Amino acid sequence: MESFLGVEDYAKYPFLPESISYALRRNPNLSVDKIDSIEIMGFEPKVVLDVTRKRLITGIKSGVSPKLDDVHHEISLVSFIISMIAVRFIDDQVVYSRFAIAEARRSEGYLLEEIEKNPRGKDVAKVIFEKVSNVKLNQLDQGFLIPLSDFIKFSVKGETSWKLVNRWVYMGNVYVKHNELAHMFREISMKSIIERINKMPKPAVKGSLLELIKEIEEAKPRPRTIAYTGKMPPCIEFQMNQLKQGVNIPHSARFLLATYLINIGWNPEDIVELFRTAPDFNEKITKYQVMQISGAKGSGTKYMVPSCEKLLTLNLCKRDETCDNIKNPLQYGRFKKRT
Amino acid sequence: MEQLQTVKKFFRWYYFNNSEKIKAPESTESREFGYRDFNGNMVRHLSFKSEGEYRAFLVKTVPKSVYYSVAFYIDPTAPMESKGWIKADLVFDIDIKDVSEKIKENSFWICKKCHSFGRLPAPKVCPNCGSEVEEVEWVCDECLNEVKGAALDLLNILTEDFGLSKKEISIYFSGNNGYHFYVYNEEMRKMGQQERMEIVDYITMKGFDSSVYSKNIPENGFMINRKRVPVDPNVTVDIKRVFRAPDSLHDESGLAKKEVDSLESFDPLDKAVVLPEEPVEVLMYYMPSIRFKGETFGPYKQEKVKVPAYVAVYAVLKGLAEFTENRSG
Repeated sequence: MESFLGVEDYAKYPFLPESISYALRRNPNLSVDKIDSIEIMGFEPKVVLDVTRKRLITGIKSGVSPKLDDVHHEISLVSFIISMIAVRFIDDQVVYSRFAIAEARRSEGYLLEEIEKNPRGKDVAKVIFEKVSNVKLNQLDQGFLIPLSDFIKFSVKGETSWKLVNRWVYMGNVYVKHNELAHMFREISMKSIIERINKMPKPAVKGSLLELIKEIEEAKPRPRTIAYTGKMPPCIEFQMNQLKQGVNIPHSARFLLATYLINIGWNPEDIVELFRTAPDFNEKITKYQVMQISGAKGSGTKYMVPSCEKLLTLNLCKRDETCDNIKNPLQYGRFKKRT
Repeated sequence: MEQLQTVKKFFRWYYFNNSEKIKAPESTESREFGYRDFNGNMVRHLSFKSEGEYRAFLVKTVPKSVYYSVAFYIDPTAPMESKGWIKADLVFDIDIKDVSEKIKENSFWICKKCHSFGRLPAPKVCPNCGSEVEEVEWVCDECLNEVKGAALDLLNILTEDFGLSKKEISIYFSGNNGYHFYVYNEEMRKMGQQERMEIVDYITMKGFDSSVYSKNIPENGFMINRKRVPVDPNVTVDIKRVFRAPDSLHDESGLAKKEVDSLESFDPLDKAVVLPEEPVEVLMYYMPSIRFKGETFGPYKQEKVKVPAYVAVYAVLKGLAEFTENRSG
């Protein structure tokens, strides 16, 4: 199956182990101190660095890395590796996550295109998914069958539609639609990119790459610190910490945070600020959703905080002994906010 | 206490005469063992190197109940936080009270002091003497069949929905009023608490939404007949639980936790009866009729009767009788 994928596929899915092996095999001299002098397929080092700049700045600012279809595949592939070096140098989990989700979304787009447009696409998508996840899939007309334990491992936590109880399960396999497979692929790819960056030693960067890193530093999200006093319920504290670390928390967890914070009196602007470290943060959409939840827009009704029972079914409950006898996170002691 | 010492004598007889048949778990040395003695003390964090060592412990200690961890640990004797969890059998517990309506009709309360009794719901204190009362679940063929039906439904889910082979599943009669399932699939053994909760929710159908489910069925896919089985979520999700040991005696019945070869034909009130036939005299305060090994005993009410030891122990452990002579020793 190794020969099944070509350099075009490696450029589309540059985080696959064999994509990276291919790039390193083709460019044995690729190292941090030679970035200023690297030539790929006869292109000057500046070209490679410009592509890397576009990849990183667009990705970190917009949340999706550019496709780079007009760039030579070999250059596209190398720009991913240089991007990883730059991101590792910045040494910030929020930037890791932001870069990883931007790359994962880029590849997710390709995976969906393969499935929908290309005649051999479903086979390619299957191979790519299997390579990134180590999971064996079975192909059906409109979707795939994924082994039960892998489905549970990779499903989107906290979403009713992703709960096993609401899935078609037969002989140890769970049916997932094409777009759902792509969604899982994005999450797995993101984790795999972050893991890879975390394993890299911190590079000693100099020259042009250092200049580029300064630009990324400026592009990275800078949330205001919001001070508060009082103890949050464990379910809220857990999700706030996850956000701080740049973890891509599920929609249900965002809904929980937003409803809880609005109900204890935070203003919507502070809540939007809190979400700024989410890897897929989009200010406009976040503002709109928080305003909806607060009742300032849409139906005018302020949304209620989900009950502890509901949180339990969504796997969002992190109860400890202090949660005894409460039915809603709002009942967890009195909370005062200091601005 | 003397009454329990007599029960212990019969438990000793069982462990002494059957130790060769008692199986230790897979990877015995990686499991945490625990037991409760006849004084009510619970001891945990024990470990045995081999099946022989475990059997010798049972014969020597004669526990009132004995348990071992569903988990495999690097160091099972270490404190909980430093045992080094490796993996855990996936287990399910089906209890009769969660399945059967009939058991509620059969159950009753009995006064611990004057032995007055009556139908449920139980009064706060005995209306006759004001003492504490106890609720007793009383099994019958019909309710045992109801719980067996739930066990068959669970077996179907595990084999048809989850695709497990029967070799990966062991089923045990719990020794009292239910069934215990063990799944030995390596992928499932690696699952954490959250993942096991997904499995439990699937089986209990918690959070099921038919409109969401219908959108998740493949095109041309057939409908799967979904049945709810009320397994105890706390048991399945607790990956560090010590679970009653197979072949050991239940401290509330004197029956054994017995492996089930075929659910359809398994009769717990025959196969799990392992204490001696030897007739023993007891004063029965009150005992509704019950069938053991095909023979019906009772109903008894304030009368001295000679019954096989297994009936006597069952009634004494349920708080319904007392031995008339001290047979401990």
